Amino acid sequence: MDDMSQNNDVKLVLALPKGRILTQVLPVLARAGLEPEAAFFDSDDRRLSFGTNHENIDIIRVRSFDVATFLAYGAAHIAIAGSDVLMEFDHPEIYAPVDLGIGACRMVVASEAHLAETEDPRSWSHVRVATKYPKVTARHFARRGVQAECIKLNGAMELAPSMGLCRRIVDLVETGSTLIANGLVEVEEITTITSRLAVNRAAWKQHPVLINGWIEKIRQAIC
Amino acid sequence: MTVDDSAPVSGSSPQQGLLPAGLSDLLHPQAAQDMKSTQNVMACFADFGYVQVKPPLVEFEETLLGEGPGASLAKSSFRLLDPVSHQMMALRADMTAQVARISGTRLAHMPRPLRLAYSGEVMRVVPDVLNPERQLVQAGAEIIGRDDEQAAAEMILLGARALNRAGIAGLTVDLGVPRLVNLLLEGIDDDAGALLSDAVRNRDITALTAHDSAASAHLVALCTASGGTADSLAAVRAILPQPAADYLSVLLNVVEMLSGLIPDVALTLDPLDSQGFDYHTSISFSIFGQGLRGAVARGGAYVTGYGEPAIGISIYMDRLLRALNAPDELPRLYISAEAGLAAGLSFADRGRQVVFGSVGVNVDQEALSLGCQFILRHRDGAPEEL
Repeated sequence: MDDMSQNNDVKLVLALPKGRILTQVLPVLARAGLEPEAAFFDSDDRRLSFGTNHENIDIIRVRSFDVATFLAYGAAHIAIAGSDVLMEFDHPEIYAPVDLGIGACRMVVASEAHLAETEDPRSWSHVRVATKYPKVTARHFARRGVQAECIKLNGAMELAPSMGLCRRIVDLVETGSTLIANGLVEVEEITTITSRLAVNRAAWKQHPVLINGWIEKIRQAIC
Repeated sequence: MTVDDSAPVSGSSPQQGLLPAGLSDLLHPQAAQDMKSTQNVMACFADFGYVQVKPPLVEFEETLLGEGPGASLAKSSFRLLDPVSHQMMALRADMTAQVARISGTRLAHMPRPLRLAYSGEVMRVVPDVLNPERQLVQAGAEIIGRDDEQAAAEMILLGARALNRAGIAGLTVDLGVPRLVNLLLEGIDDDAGALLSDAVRNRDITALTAHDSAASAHLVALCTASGGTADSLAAVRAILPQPAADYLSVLLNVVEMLSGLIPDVALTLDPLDSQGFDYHTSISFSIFGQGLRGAVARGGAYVTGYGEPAIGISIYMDRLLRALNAPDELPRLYISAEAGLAAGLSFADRGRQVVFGSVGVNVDQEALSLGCQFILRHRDGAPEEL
């Protein structure tokens, strides 16, 4: 059980997602006592891996979906990731112990406004959906016996229905203004989304004291 | 020599040796290393009185995937039709079920406890999430007729020793009680149960805390204490209902028994972990090695298809290879064609590794190209260093 003695030579890697969530995550980490080195904030710096004020923690900055990949395969030990990404991965090697309550938005099904009024989706056995989240989408529709043919898009989802690509889209919305601007309406909410602190299962088992320490610090930082 | 990634493998086959997903050729020196580490592990099992059995690669689906540990393997087993009996056969995906079958049939008359060991190849339709291999070498040991705390401690001790002997250091043994979550969720309605077991699976303390019930309070306490010391779990035991508290006691007693016996091995407790333990009853464990992806060994208590308590361990030998150093190789002695076979034999008898040369070649060149460090040029000469 002498975990501390092993920790001297252990270097933890924390994966953070680029973009929207990052600006909200950094204050939480700062309150938990973790600050990236100055180069992290330098937009000219091309590095992707950075040191911190703790010698045994490095930070990597990757695309939001890649956070889960780095974490699942043990390349990162701790991560901050949106629950949308974690749901899509649904990976048994990832634990997601803490809801950080930041980056809040909703994952919804949307359709063209004029179609939503006339269609009866109860009679469908199949629907084509454009989404970044094919697995979550397929699971959602399968629960009511509808086979979802998912077209994986990485952006500009809102264009797809009017271009005849699909009847539905599944996407994240914050205010809903992008939907409205593209003639779409929300037809149902799949789930609410927030960012979570996630850990790699094997890393957590191998360095429980160290990782539990950070989970606790971050949990207190959001209270 | 430079290696060109794009260079085609010679041969006329359009696929150039492409293998199905998850299958690979093991070459030198890993092939030899693989065999040697399996031998080391089996020798360690033999040291503690485990005798070997060797079941076949393929069995009738009905027996292989029947009751007991085989039942959970239906989805992961390849099947083929036996043209002779016209019955469906399954390729083994795990040898535990076969050993359990042997214990309940051909060895049913032997006194208990029965200690059996085995090693062999298994095939899985869907690979493990972290390891792409669909063909694995499994080496394992089972005690049939016991599943008590002492037997569990013996298994963990055995696993740690066997892995050390195979050359794996920095071990962590993680102990769990796969049935604990279900026990705590008994009597809770389905929706809440699904919500809570999802939350446990993600170790989502936020969601567990949000749920207002006795079960969720117990789960939060277990979640928070997991990975910590045995003392913090002992405190949680005091608030658990029966029989959950008894299951936790088993875990704590095993840890107590092991204290001081495997000083280099970290023991962690994660009583809520049930991942991958489909047929285990009371205690289960996974062993992790520094720098190795996923668990390298797992085991636990179960009931055989013949109603006997049992406990076992399986080590996945392929996963060890990544952490092993290249083995020491013996120097090779080149025996020129002129020196002859008899000269080579006499050196081989004395424990040298010899390589016979071809006829009509430049012997020095060939000796070097065959990786030899020494050369015997003439029958009556002495080996010279190259």
